[in-house]
Amino acid sequence: MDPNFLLEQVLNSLQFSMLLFLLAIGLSVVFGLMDYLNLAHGTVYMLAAYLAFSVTQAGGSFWMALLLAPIAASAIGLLLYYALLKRVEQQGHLAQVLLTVGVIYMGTDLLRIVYGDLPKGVSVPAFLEGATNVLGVAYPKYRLFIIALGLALMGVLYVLLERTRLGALVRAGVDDRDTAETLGIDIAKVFALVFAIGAYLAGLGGVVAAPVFGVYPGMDVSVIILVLIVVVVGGLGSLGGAILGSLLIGFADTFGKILLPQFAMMMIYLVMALALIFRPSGLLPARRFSQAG
Amino acid sequence: MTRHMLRRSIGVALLIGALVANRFAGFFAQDLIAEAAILAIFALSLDLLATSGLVSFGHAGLLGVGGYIFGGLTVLLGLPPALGVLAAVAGGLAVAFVVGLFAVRTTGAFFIMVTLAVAEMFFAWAFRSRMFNGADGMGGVPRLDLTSIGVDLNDPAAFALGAVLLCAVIWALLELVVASPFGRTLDAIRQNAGRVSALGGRVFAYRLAAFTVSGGVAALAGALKVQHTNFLSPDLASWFASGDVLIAVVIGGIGTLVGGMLGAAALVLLKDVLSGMVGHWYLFLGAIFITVAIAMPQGLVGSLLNYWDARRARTAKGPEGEGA
Repeated sequence: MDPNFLLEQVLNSLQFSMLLFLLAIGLSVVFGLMDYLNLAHGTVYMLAAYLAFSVTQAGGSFWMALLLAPIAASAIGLLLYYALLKRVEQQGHLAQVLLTVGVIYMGTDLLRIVYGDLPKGVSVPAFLEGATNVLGVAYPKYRLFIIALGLALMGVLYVLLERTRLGALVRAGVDDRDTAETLGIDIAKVFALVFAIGAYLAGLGGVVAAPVFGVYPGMDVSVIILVLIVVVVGGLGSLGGAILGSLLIGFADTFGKILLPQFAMMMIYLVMALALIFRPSGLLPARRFSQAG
Repeated sequence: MTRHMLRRSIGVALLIGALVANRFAGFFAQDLIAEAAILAIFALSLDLLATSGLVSFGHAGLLGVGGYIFGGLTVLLGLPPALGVLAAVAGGLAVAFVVGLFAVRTTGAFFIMVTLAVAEMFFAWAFRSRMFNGADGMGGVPRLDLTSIGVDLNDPAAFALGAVLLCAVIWALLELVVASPFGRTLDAIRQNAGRVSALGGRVFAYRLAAFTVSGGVAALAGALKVQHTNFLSPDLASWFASGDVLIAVVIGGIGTLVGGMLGAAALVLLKDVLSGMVGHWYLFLGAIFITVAIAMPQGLVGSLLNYWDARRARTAKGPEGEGA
């Protein structure tokens, strides 16, 4: 394969992996901490993308959108959590699936009513327009920005989870919720904070993805399945798992489309099936043994 | 009246209701009844699996296997539809057995995702398959020929009647399965797989058997579905279809068999009524899902049965009672 072409595809894979990561980390930690299957995580991503569109429509810059939209989306996400999602916290995955699918349906239709059915675009900020030279390959600057942002956030999250008090509380909760609570940790409060941060990151993903993939009703559903796969392949509740899962799925998707265009969709599922046959709890789970029976 | 009698009465009432409605309904309503009955059979297959504590998010893959085997044999090879139905069921059993060999080693969310993965692989194949006309799908799927006994299944009323009756038969069979020692063991596995294993129960074998039987029933539903629409399309196996049947079972009440049938009927009716009444009907469907999840997390039938048990316990032993 032509090395330049290969490099370009590697960059494409990385860029896609970073977007997956932004959504996967929130879902994974929420799942790991509270055993909550929140399919509406993608709705926050979609909402932020639409809010970013509104900000730029109102004359704001892309940066303003990047600053405001994820915060607003996260606040709405948290509101949604307290108003609806929390009510089925103890009711098992299936009630959670039913409720969050309901939220997906309502969210999509509400955004349709406000914004209409047609896809919207968000333009790239001026200085990230066009391409730049990466080792002899002309590559869009904006996509490099996504990769850089993703890597930076991985670093921030590593410090947050491994080096701060909040991180220690989260890890304790994921590891053994009951014991952590017995030791006086208010897991409900930690969880609300984690949920808000996860929603913020998903919102960030939505804004960043908007110029590349466009903003349209249903963009949440098309991404959430991939993100769930990332979480399951990587293993629940761990940063390393979310990173590894995002990279695996990002590369499998991109290279699947090049190497086996006939079976592009199969590639990611093949990776997932193989990963789960050999590591039924994912590659890097926060907890080594699964508590399900 | 015991819990099981109440549960079964709901099922009988539902089936009689469908038969009566079918007798007096017009063309469109009969079409809906057939659709609901087929979704109900599909939901029954998923609920049987749930009896063993496993929930699949890729059950539409098995629906697709049934549909594609039936379509392939009848449309492409010109074989008689009766043979197509038998082959579809056999194919569903075989595919579920092979997939189950590795899938049922996982549980919980991981099982959900493995089944999704396998179904999506089938979807991807069907989407690209030249033989089956890929994403465009393939028309002209024939219905079972029962003219020898004087029934023309191309008549919507007859087809709906057949679908409801078949649903009743499948339900009765699965009730027997669930009540059998095999079914009781599945229920024990659902409640505590570790304990069953410690008592010497072969958890893996039982779950594999449940998945296999479930696959056969799902494939039968698939063979019926393509007969109903006369059309074969990869959408049969899409995860939207898996989600639909899962939601039908959850709305009705998982692990109750009857709940799956009620949920299927409710979902088909709701979608039809809402889409006919209002423009943004997903808004209302979503609101209904949320309401059911919060108000009746055990589903319609599940919550009713729990309420029934609680009331019986109160009346039998007073407020302090611990009735069974």
